[in-house]
Amino acid sequence: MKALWQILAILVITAFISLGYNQIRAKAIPLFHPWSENISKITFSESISSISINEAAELFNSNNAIFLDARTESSYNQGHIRGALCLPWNQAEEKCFELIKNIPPEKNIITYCDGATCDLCGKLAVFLCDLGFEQVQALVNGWTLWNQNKLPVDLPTTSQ
Amino acid sequence: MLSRQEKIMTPSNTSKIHHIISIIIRFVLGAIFITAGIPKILDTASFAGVVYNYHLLPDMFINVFAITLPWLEVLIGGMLIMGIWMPGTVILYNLLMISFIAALLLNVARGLDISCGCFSTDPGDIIDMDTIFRDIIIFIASIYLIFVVFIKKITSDTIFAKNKL
Repeated sequence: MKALWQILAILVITAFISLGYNQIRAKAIPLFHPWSENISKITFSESISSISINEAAELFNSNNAIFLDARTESSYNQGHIRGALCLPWNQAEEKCFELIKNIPPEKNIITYCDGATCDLCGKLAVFLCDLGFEQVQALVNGWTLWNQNKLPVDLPTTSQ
Repeated sequence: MLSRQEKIMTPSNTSKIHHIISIIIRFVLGAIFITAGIPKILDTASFAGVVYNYHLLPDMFINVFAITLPWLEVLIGGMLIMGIWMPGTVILYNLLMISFIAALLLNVARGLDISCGCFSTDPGDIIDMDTIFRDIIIFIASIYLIFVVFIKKITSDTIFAKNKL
């Protein structure tokens, strides 16, 4: 019983402090926000656009784009878009120069990750754009969409 | 006649050992929550995005959760270190760890590549099995605190309190 009162007191104190601080801080956020309505309007940067799965497939079929997988290395090893290069966002600074030194700046680059709200591909695209690449686009929810459209992939058994 | 080993491990001695270990664990676990909470307080907007990406809460609760959770972490962490309201604090710590582990497992099972939001709002802080393993270790330590507080009845009100075993 003593513990229950303590829990309630801690929660009330937390609510007062956190909501009070949010009201007075400079970067206050609204208590309620329609996240799902705005998620389709995500723009990563003015210089980065997202690409549709059909456009990405066309570029893939015409061999006019390089695909960069922004997911973790273990996810990449479990399966990736055929021919895609592994460049996890959290290792981008370490690995990018080795990986992209042979890619001309004007080459189409498509970054992708997985999940409708995954922003790794957008972050990676912005990073590459800052490095001087001109044609970088992000394929949001890329891995899922690629599989749903039954487009070519490299799996551990097929890539060996 | 008690053997030498039995004399060493009398109830009083074992309680003292539990007391010392629990203080160390309280410091470590408290510091973990404070370290985890502060970056989220500083960048609440990004943390709200991380919460949304988990797809576990309806829209109307996301911002409220993102505003309050970091403060709850910092408050519980501080109270754990200072030994204030230990029964309530320890139960809340365990409940939060269970929630965190469940959320992580669910998203690994779903195969979503999302930021953990565990110790920062950095999108590169991706959930993997190491993240879950780390949380399970923390959870085991917090279960030990349940044992110490509710079974061994070591609930010193401050870290400086003595003889409250």
